[in-house]
Amino acid sequence: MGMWTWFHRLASPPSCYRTAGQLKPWFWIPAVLLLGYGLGTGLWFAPPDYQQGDAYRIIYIHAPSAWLSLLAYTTMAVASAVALVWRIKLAHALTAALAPLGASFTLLCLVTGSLWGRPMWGAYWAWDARLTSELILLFLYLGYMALRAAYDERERADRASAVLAVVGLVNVPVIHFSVVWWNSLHQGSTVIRSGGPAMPTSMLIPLLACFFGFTLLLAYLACIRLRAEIVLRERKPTWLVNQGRDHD
Amino acid sequence: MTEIGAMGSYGVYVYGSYLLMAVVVGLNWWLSARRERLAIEQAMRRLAAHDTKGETP
Amino acid sequence: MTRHPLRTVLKHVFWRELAFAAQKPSQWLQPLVFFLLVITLFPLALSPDPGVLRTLAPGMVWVAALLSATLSLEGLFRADYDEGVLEQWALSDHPLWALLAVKILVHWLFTGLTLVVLSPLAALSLAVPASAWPVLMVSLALGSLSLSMLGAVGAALTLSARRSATLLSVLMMPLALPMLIFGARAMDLAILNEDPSGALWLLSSFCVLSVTLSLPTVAASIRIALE
Repeated sequence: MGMWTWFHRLASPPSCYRTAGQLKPWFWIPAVLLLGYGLGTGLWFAPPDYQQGDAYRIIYIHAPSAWLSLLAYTTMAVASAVALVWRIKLAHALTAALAPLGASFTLLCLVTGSLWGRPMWGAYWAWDARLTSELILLFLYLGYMALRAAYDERERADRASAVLAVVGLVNVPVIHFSVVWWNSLHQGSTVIRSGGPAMPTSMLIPLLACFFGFTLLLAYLACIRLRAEIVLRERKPTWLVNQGRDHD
Repeated sequence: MTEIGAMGSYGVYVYGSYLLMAVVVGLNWWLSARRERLAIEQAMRRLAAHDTKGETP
Repeated sequence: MTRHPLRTVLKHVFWRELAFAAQKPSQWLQPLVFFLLVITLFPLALSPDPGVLRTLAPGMVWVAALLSATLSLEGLFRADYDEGVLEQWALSDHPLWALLAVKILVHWLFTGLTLVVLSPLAALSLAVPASAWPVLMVSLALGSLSLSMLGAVGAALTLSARRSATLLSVLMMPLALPMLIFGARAMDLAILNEDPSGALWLLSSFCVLSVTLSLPTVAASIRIALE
């Protein structure tokens, strides 16, 4: 019972707003430290790759972006399902907050993938399974944001886009499978190997640091946006006056 | 340690990616913070309007 | 609706939808014309060479079918939503998904099945050998059914939103991607005189999956639009 009352209290907009604000430094400070180490090492201190020279360093941004794009979308879909089943408005707020963030990282993943492609196999774009799947994911994000924008009432927008998010997530494995299948049929000259054989620890540790750092960074950004979304959904946020405005 | 100039022709792509990442993150941070600020201002205005109206519908 | 057995109600809905489609043929004829038009555009834009057309035919036919389907799905629920019929259906004792299923099925008969019937024409114009036509038609039948189901979900989600010409397409395209890949592959194999059964099985499974998952989702989406 104690767990349930804790959850219930958290699920109220004012306390969620406050908690998100309190969590912010717990997210951004470790994120800066981890990314400082991970990206700094990735950029300068890790040894050049045996096959790809220095171009592989893009992986320190490309791989975490791909991870974040999927993490954000999955969280959006799970939150949407929770919002639809249990009618928790806060879950809608979380989904709305994550959408532009996830889309940004998807775009970042695609562009860095493209920039990586140029030195690697000479072309800015290749229709390989991973990049194509990522592109479809971007369209899923854009579709979600387009549907949300087409509604004038926020509550309706929340519910309709929540259904779309769940439908999208259910389809992601199918879509990914079909893209991989399609790609295997048309196996051309471009076979993309990310990092080649098993990564040496000197490269792997900074990469893991980047993964964790970027995840914390997403959490931090999500906290900021979530607080905005919470306030936008409140009809009479009298509790807002009593909150000191948290500064970053 | 890899010298800044030693990356040769790949340098543009690598540094470009890092720069792009900084831009994406920075832009998202700025836009999110701005959204929060505007939301709070809008809410405060709504609350003030309610108070001056006296009767809340 | 007074308490009638489900079978009677479904039959009634079926004939009602049929009558509406017969009264307003432009609703389903136009997307078919659009399909043929797009098919005509490709050779004009690419090349009249039969070899080239044959190679590209699967992609062209499927893209044209996809575009035509999204056009025809725009107005699937619009009229009934505006007139309050959907509300009646939702409030009745009968399962909403069953009523909607009949509606979508009739819509598919007039937009999807008709496309299948027309497809030999498109195949002819794109130098596709007649031996590949059966596979083409079967795959289009399965694919168009999946499209109708997935598109119905999209149509329901956009019902109470601001009208947009391309919103439904933007929503549907990523979801319809597997169907596009499997269907085009099946047609490709048929043209090359190879065995298309693998691709056809994948296409059928996707069709079954999309029908099973879409029906409850459409019902839920309609309810959201009615709230």
